[in-house]
Amino acid sequence: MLKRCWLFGRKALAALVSSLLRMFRQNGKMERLDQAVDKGLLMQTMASSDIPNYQVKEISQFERNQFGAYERKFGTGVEIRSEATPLYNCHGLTFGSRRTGIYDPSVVELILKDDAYVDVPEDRVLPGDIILYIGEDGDIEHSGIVVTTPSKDLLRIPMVVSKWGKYREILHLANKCDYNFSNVRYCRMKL
Amino acid sequence: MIELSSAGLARLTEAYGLANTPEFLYRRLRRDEVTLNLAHDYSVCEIVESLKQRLSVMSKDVITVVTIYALLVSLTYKDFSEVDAELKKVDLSSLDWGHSIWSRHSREQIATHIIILPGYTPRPISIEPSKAGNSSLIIAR
Repeated sequence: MLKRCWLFGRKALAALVSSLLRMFRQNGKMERLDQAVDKGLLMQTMASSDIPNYQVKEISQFERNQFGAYERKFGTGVEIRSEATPLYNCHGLTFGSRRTGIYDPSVVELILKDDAYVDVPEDRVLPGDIILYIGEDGDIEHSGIVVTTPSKDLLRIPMVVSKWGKYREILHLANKCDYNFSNVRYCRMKL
Repeated sequence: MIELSSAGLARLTEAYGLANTPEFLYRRLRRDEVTLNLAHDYSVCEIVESLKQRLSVMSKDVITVVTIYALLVSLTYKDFSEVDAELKKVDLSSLDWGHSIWSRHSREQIATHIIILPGYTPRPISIEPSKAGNSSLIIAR
């Protein structure tokens, strides 16, 4: 009888601790107004610099409703590769294996430096190289992975796969997107 | 409380959804007429008050978030020193990109006309009355 009470007490205590922990975690998520955000993953560059990142876990119905507008805008010349997910962004796809989002352009610069990326001239671009879209202020506003070599038939515009913010992963001509194609760089790791 | 039109909200939400970085969001919102109209129609105090009210709502409603970013970006059209003083009283930490957007705007306000030459210490010398003009400080070489 005493042993049963002891076991029951242990179970009840474990359940209480577990529910308290769950409440704490949920409250932790509510601290961020933007979306339910979790802490990022432990990631480092080749030179052991930390890569700040975070995962956004939720996307609202209102946002999903806007996605139809993108599809109308870029209907032809784009191919959808995945469902919309806020878990990773373009830099998370290019540099984080789709695991998480990297949102600070200066962090992308750090990765390029530490991982020894070098610029590749347009006529030497190969599938697997990365494309960087440079914003008006010189920041890297978007990135993706080249999947076809730029050919003369396509006016030297390669096909790339990239992730559009919280929207889908898209296979598209490099100029068929809302990011600044007038200033792009192609890069490859110098190994 | 300041409300945005549904068409404007849809455009801003599209920008928010496509943004990979705070800089991109800042540029897209600043380019949109919604933020310009907000700055035109409302005073700094009104915008900041509306900003505070929305920030106090602990909700994950994307309309609230997008409106907050629109209000914040509309303040970039106002007098910097006045807005900066007001924003120091506002806690933007619950926004992912609130501080990034405002510091991005703040960087533009830094004076760019000061040149410091390495290894050279400027030394003022006496100003000759005949050469002294509105801004003439002669530096010894």
